[in-house]
Amino acid sequence: MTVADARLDADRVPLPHGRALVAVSLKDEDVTDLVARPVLGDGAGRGWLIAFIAASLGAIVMAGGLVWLLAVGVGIWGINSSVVWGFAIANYVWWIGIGNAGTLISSMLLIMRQRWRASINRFAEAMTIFAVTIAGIFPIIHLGRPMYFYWLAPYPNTMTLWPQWRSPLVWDFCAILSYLLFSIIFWYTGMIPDLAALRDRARSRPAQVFYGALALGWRGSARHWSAHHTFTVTMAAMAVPLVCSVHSIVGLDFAASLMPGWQETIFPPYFVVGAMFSGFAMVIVLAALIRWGFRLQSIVTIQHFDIMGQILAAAALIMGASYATEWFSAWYGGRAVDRSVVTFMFTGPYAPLYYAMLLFNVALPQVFWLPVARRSVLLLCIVSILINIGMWLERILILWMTLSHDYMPSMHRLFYPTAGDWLFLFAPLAFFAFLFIVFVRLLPVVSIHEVQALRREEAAA
Amino acid sequence: MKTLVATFHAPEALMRAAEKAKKEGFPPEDALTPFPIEGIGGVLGLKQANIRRPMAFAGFSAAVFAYALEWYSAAIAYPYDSGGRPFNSRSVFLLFPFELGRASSRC
Amino acid sequence: MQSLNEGQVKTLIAIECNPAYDAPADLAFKDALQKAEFRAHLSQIVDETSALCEWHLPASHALESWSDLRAPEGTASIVQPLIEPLYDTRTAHDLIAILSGQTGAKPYGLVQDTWRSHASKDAFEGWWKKVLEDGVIPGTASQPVNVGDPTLPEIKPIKATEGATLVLAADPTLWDGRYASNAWLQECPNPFTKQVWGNSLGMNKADAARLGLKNGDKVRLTRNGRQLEVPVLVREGHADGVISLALGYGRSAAGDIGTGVGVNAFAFRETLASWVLDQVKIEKLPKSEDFAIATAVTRLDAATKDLFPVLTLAGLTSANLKRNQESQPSLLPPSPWPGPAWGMVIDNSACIGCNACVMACQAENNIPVVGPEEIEWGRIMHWIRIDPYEQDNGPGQTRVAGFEPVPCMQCEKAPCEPVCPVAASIHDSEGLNVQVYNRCVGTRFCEANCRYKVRRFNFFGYTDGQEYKNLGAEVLHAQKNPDVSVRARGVMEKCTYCVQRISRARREAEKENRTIRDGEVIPACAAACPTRAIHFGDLDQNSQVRRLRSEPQHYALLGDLGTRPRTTYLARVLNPNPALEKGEG
Repeated sequence: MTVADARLDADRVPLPHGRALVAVSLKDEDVTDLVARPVLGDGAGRGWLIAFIAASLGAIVMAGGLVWLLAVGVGIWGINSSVVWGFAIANYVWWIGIGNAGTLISSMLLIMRQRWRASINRFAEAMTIFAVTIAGIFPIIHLGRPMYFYWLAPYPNTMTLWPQWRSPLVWDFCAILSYLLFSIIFWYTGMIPDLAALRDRARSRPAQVFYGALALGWRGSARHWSAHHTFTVTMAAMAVPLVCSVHSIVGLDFAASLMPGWQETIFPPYFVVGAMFSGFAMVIVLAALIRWGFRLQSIVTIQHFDIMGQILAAAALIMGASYATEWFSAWYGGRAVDRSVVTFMFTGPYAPLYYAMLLFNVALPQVFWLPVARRSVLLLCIVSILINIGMWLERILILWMTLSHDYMPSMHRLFYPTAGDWLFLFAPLAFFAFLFIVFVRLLPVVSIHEVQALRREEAAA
Repeated sequence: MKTLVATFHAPEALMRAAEKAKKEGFPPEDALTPFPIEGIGGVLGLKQANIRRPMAFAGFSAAVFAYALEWYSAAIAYPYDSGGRPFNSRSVFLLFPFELGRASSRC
Repeated sequence: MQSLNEGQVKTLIAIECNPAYDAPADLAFKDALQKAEFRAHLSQIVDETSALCEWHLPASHALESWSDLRAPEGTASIVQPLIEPLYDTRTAHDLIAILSGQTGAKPYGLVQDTWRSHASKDAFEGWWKKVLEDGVIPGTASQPVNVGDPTLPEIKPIKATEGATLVLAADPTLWDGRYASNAWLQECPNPFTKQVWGNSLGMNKADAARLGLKNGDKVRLTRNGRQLEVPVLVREGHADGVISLALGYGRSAAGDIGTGVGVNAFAFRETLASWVLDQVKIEKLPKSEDFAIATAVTRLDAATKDLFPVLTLAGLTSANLKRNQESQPSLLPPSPWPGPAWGMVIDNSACIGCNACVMACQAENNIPVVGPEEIEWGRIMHWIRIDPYEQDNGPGQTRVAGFEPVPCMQCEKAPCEPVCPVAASIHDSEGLNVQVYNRCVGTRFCEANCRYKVRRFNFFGYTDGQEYKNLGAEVLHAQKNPDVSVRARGVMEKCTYCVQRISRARREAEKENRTIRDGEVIPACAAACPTRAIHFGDLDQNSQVRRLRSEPQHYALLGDLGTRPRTTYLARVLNPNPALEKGEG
């Protein structure tokens, strides 16, 4: 049976336990073929090349922006004496949030034995690593004196100084580093069997050496598999508190402060759910692109999108509940300044953005309670992009609302974005695309051995 | 001492052969497969790799070390008044050990 | 003027004035000036008049000159120089001596000669030294004149006229424009509007609504054939139909700093209508302009009234102000440090919003000027700011309730400290929240967490990177206070209670083996305040600040948040005449 026929098979043939996650009629070698072809296949394909050049230009723009920023100072952004944090911090939180979904897919779903994660977890983890890398750039470059960022790390020095441990930014530093470390280790070790498969199929010597070195001599031994399994499951078990704690710490950047609109205990879980929400939305977009670009419709199926659509709808409800908690606690707490901030949210100059955020984050995803909506990849992509915009709006509004309208009315000041702000919003997107485009060319974009296991499971069922 | 290498085309066949060989008194050395097979560990007599205990040990000791570092630097080595907060700010000092412990249990 | 216009003037010497800029427009002085055959201008700065003269004679600064002056009530005093002239300049006395043939006469001798008649020849030197030490010349006050009982003036009713009435006033910081090239004064906010680097047309809300104007809209004023385009700023304190504009802006030759800033109201002024110009036509233009407003004016209402309590004398004893929260429990342990506990009490009743403290702080602490573009972005640099508060005063009208200077509160439980990741913001044992410039990496979490927003960030390299750095010449390197470091780009700074002055006093006291006396440490703001609204001292001694803190009108700004600020306030206490109150309705 050809691969083209298999694609039709997955969408049409229902299995007794539900919809098919992987086309049953695929053989194991077909799975490897499908995934290995873009990596080991000859020629890059024009689509990839155009995307690569476009993304490279974006990456160059980002490099230029960094030089401009480091040479001139953070004054190129629209931040001022009242709104001291702007796009840079919103971007940081947004990128970390996107990264969280990859970890949740690899780890939490593994623990929960959600087998459907197998088709999407590899590029979701890659997305996490790239997103966390980009996110990690922002806390460094937004500093007034970025060359001293390492003072946030504890190292013995002649000044006999240590970081100030009570500051959420120090927790951030540690959390982001450990998150990045975890993600890279988890992603890499999970990839070793697939790298071995690529090594075995590679035809050119450089490719064999490259994948062979990365595969660390994997033989497929039962001992290897056993250790691999234990390691993966243990790491996955640790990843769930990791994700929750990393984004909770990012939430504590605000919640551990004492400002109206920020000092809310809901922030850590609210941020975690928001991260999962925006991350899944990004995964949907990436999955749709990869599926279309590499013709992986038989591995990344409509059923995957169906499930992810349900997650979006549920998360949107939780986000709505979080927003409502903010409004409720301001009213219930009775403090004039808290109520003033909430009133400012709804009636101030930023109000149109706030309403847009509510629309994109809470209202629109409710359409995914309808199965037919969930199974339309186009609708999912559109709503996912709007969700990502809405989640970015949420981050920036958390910053703007409180910093523009806090305790001292004489220092109430609005934020006006500058060209530098827009550059650092969009150029990292291009850089992310650049990293991703290089990734899909070099490394297996889907977890081969896990999809094979999934396929066999579905065939046996 | 001769070594026999057998190639199979299906996981079920490999399992049957392995179990048979074990019953005959020739337990297989190893099974090389492109994907993990359920139960092969039992047939080969593999113990589950002991990863969890070292990981837990590394994690907890790193966490203890991290808290000790915080306590030493903030209460002994260079105490300063930061917002009137106590030198040994127990609750907020727990976050860094949590992260460091988790990070090192992985390594 | 007539002789000048007819060309009869051969020599014209302008001494320390700038009529080419500030003469009323109907005199057409610029053109008239050029009809004189020989023109020279003695002034400190090359300005509009110098540009039209053939010779510019550099004048000494008042602080470099010997001279004398007379107070409004007649008392005379001798002006002594503080330093030798920095450059090769002359005073007006030198010039006039030359012009009157006394070449070689020095101002010192000239001033002495003016007052020689006050003492005998032998006693003169002694009398001279005493007069210099005392500062005033005794017996020179004018005698009071008996004018009988005061009577009310007869005020004829004014006929309502078309158009608005424009009131011109000297600018609070630039005066008549002579300080336009002084960047500190350009950046010093207008006490009422907080506008910097420019002037604006003031009008009240009702007029603005009637004309369909909002802040920033440009209008064209027309009167007697003269026109002026100026942006509008809606503000309090204007009667219906009255608009106001500050003089001193719109200069054309005030160097890099002052040229082209604001609108020249002198071009609209007339000899017979110098301060009040009636029948001004206002025409809205489709243009608008951004203002640089340093901070906002706060309206007192239910939510903000605790920020600026206004008490009456009658209600003083029953005032229930939020005290400094010493009695409220805290989860945090007490910080019993030895040594002085510095505190500051600011009296809102005394503060007139004059900005002397702001300027003194800038001078003392090497605070850079950031320029109008940065102010428009919302980046201010003054360590102490004065917040004006307005209250309702009838329908559609507001009036100023008072001014509240806000330096760093130096909170005992400072929210800015535990959030700094590198401990650049920490507390010293004397109660100061210190900002360690060398350690600051610039995360700005401290300013984000400050409830009072008193911290200032160097978004660019203001001190050594921007165009406003060289506000003149190398003499300004000498102006910098060597006791205070200059901050780099990316570093947070804020009021330090003039820690350099505290340190100096501590060193003196240690040398003399004693404690620091009450009143020995005076921060720059307290020293400059003309109404003595700012008090500073050691709370652990029986000092004035400690006594002030037990006054009934004493309160802490945002005191219920538990930050325990060391900078506290005495609320504004009014004692209105009940008859007046009834009259105002």
